[in-house]
Amino acid sequence: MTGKKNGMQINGSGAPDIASNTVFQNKLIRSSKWYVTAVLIVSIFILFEYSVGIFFFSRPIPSLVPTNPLTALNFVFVAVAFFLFTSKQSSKLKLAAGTFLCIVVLIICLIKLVSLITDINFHIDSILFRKKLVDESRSFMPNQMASFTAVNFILLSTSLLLYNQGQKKRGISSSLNLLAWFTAMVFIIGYAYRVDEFHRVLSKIPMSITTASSFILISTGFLLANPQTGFMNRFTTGLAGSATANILVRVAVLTPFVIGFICMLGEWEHLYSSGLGTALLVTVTIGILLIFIYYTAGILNKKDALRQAAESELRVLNENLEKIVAHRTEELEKINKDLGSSEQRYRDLYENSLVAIFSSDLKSSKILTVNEVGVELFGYKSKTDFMLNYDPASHFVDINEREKNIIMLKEKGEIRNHVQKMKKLNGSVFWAKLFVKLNYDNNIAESVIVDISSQIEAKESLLLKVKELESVNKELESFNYISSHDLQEPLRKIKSFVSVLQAEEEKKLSQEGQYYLNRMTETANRMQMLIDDLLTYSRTKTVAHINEKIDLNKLVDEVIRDFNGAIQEKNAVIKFENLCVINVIQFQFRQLVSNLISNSLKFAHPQRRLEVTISSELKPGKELNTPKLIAWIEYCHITYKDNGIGFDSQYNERVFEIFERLHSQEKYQGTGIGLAICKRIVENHKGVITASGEINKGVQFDIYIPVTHFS
Amino acid sequence: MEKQFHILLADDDMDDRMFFKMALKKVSVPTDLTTVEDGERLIQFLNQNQNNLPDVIFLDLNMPRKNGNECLLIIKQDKNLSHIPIVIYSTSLHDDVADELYKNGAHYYLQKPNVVDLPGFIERVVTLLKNTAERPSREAFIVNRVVV
Repeated sequence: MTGKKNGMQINGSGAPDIASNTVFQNKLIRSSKWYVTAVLIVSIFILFEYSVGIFFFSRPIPSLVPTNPLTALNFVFVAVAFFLFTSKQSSKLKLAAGTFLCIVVLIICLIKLVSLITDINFHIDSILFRKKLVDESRSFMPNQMASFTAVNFILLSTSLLLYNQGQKKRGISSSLNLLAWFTAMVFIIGYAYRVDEFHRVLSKIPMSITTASSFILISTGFLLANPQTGFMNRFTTGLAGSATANILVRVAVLTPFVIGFICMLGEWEHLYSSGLGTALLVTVTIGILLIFIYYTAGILNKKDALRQAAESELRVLNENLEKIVAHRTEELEKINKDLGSSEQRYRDLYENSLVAIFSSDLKSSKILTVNEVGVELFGYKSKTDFMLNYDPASHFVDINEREKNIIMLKEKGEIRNHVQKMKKLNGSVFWAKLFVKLNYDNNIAESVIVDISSQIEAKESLLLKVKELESVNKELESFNYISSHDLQEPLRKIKSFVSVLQAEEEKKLSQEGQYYLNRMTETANRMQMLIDDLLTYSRTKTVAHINEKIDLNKLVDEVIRDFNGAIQEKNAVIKFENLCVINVIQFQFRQLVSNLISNSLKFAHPQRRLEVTISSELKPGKELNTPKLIAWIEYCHITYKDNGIGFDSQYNERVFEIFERLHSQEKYQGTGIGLAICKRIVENHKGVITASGEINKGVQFDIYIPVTHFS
Repeated sequence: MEKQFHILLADDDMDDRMFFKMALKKVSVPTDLTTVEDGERLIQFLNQNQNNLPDVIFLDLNMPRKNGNECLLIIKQDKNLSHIPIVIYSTSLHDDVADELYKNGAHYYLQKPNVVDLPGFIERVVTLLKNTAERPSREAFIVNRVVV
């Protein structure tokens, strides 16, 4: 039975039959109740017959023995016990009642058997309807329970009790049922074939035909009620074997019985001899059995063919499945390998990173992992040392900072670029830049900490230097300004005294004295010039940058007008057109153009007419081919060119230096500050100025002013 | 005879006082000059000569004890003195300082020029003041700028 089940599972072809199996078995269980019910009704009717005095079921054929009322009562008990046991709503009370009924039947039948064996009549089967039974006993046989009836009841009641003892004992229970069934069958066949030996030899009192039929019905019912246990399972699984057996069982029971009965009828009517009868019986039986065997072989073949087809289909499916599994396994292995290498990469990054990384559980404040940089940064001996002994209190300069961090972290889920002071284990303080990310699911914070102390120190010292420089510069500027300013007053007085001398005392002086007086005037004027230029130079830096949109055409035109006298005197030509409109500090730019024109006029070539051309263009830095320009910024490139005496190109840089002069004071008066002022102005505008001189040809100034506004 | 125009000069610089005196000799308008050496003495002088107040005060800015601007404020807040026109007379000239002085009630700003140019400027200022007691506009406030 177990083997069969296993086989079913291995084959797989039996799998769909399992469903039909339970359906079929349920059908059997339902039908079992009808068999038992039929017996119950008949038995109750027999009891009723005895009470009213009619004999229908108790003695269907008058010449045969009747059913004893005790037998009928036993049937009622056994049937009721069966229903109590198989009731769907089983309860302890029902089970107890059923057991009680079975035991009653068992005791009654045991007493009967004992009385039969010992020949002591306890008259147990005459308790009910005694008078009627006595009346009846005048016939050829006493109305008593047959010995085999008692045996059958013992079998049935034992079977029922065993049935109730659990699954394991149901096999035995079914076997007992089958035994009762066979016993009853013997009597049925005996009655059918009119075999006298059944009455005389096998028992003193034969089993009545109703009793035998009832036994057949009730034991069949019991067997069907328990289709999945014992040998019954073989008939009820719904597998090919069961299907065949179902047919063959009926054929095996009915064929010999029916054919035998027909043959017997022929013999009784003396149509043929008993030998021929037996021959006919055997022949017809063989024929019918062959037909059924042929038929069932067909069914089996069909089922087997289906099974084999299903098996081969399954095999193909299995093979495909195996292929898929193999493919998937390969893929998984590859993914695993990739994962492994990416995990390794992550590990390498984690360990070789230049920043401290660690993860901590916010709830328990425990450190889960840390890299070597982290261990070193906080001053621990090892990772284990870090993980076991990390205490936030010893690393935060202000422990409240940590609380604030945690609140922010819980609110936003992360902290970015947070800079704060932290401590190493030995107490030394460093500047830490924090990046923390919180995983809300498990409350684990991943922290990255960068030691930016050196950056901060560098920045601080740089800021300090800048401040120092600024104050030194300021001092210089103010010194420059104050000294220039304060120098003016005595100079003005000197000039005034000289003027008074010249106006009132000149005639009293010798010629030499007069010459000295003139030289004194010139020197004083020169000093005045120097002071003025220095003042202008120092003011160039101190003025606030108020940029306004200036049309250079207009500005140059105005400057030229200021120089009108000198230009006419020198018969100079100044050409300009289509100049840019740019954001500049107006008065400074006026100074710039003014200084350049003043220079051109001063250094005009004595042999030719002075020509100055001013032009401009807008171009991005990358197209201007000049160092120091920013490639992506647009510049206004102003070209200023004259045809004066020029200078050697080796002085291209030096001309912009303060007090730098290329010519003697006698020939060309000047302070050497003019171009330095020009350079300062251009630089104030974030621009670049270059000069390229050529002796006796002239000079070209290139000025680049960024068009983009800088604040 | 024409009444002399009474000028009061407050300047701590001896040379400048001398230049002023020299220049006045060349001014065609008849003038009478009184000089004081600092702001303190200026206020003292004005308080002691309530009946003989000057027609104009030339006021230097950079003086010890009380500078020009302080004197200007005191004079302009004193109802007995506030009518006297005041000409700022200084070596330096800064626009923001000039703005402040104009706001405080000064009439003119004369930047100390070379002595040869001084008589002309004094004559111009005195003539203007003689013609009208009203203050000029801000544009006319600055009489000269010393350029080289």
